[in-house]
Amino acid sequence: MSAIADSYQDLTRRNRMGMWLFFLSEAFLFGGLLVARFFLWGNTRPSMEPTMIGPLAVSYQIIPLLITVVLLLSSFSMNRAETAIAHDDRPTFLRFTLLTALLGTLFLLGVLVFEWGWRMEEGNFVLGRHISPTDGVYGAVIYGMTGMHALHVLSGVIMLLLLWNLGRKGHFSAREHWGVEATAIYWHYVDLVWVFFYPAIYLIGVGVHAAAH
Amino acid sequence: MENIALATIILPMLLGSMILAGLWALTWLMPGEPKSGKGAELVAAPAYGPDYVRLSTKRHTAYRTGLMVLLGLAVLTIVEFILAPLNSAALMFVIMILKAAVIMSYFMHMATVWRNEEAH
Repeated sequence: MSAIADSYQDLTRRNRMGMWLFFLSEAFLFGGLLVARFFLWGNTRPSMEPTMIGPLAVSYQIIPLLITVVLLLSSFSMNRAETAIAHDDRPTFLRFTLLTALLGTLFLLGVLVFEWGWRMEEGNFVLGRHISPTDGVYGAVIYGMTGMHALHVLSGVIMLLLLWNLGRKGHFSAREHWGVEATAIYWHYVDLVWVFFYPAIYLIGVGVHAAAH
Repeated sequence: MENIALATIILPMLLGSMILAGLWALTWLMPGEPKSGKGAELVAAPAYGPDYVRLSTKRHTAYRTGLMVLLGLAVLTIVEFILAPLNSAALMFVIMILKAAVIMSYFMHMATVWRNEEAH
């Protein structure tokens, strides 16, 4: 094994440690939001009106479940992209990186359009299909938690697109792909956070009425 | 009182044990090394270009592991959704922690932080 290869492995090992320390610091941020939810809501959660998709009234719990499935699929797709480059399978890596970015964008749209109800009304952006950020502790916590998470998803999508572009130009190989690995574990971290946020917001507690103004 | 104990202690423990057993079975189904013998060699992947390499058994195993993890997470998510009306925070936390453990160990390669060699 060459000295260069040795140093790359050492560097990667240190990078991994740094990445996990970054995740630890992020855990305090998301953990704080989770604690706020349990402190302010207790054993309750907002019970909202069904979402109208065309003529269909869909239970408000279905949309979060669907976007959760989308995020789960994106994690699988990211894993496949990472595995592909680790085995020098560039076409699969490029395809699945792009698919992950697409699924991430779909998740964002699900949050912004269906959950937040972000829409245009008389030339202005209007927020709040079920509940608005000013609806007391329920609105504040929901928008705080989903907003902070969505911001991380957005940065992940941007990183994925950069990764795809670099991969297209021939960067990364089975031997040297720390950039791919870092982006992948960041993406899985975003999924990990949602694993805790989704039940905390939508499943745990007794539903109480908290409609938008 | 009995119902509270059932919903918050016994049911989560019972379900948690079942999920752990299921995960153990799942890891048993996911071999880390390629199986030997007849059928171990895979057929060639479709060609996407001149530099496209043939699927190796090792890579196929890695792909299969990812798929099995996805299935495990999907099952846990559905179980979580179905059991939500029981209103047991403890039960939800058991499922959350299981899902987190699966993601951290398989998708985030947590063990590689303390290892020198490449993970994949």
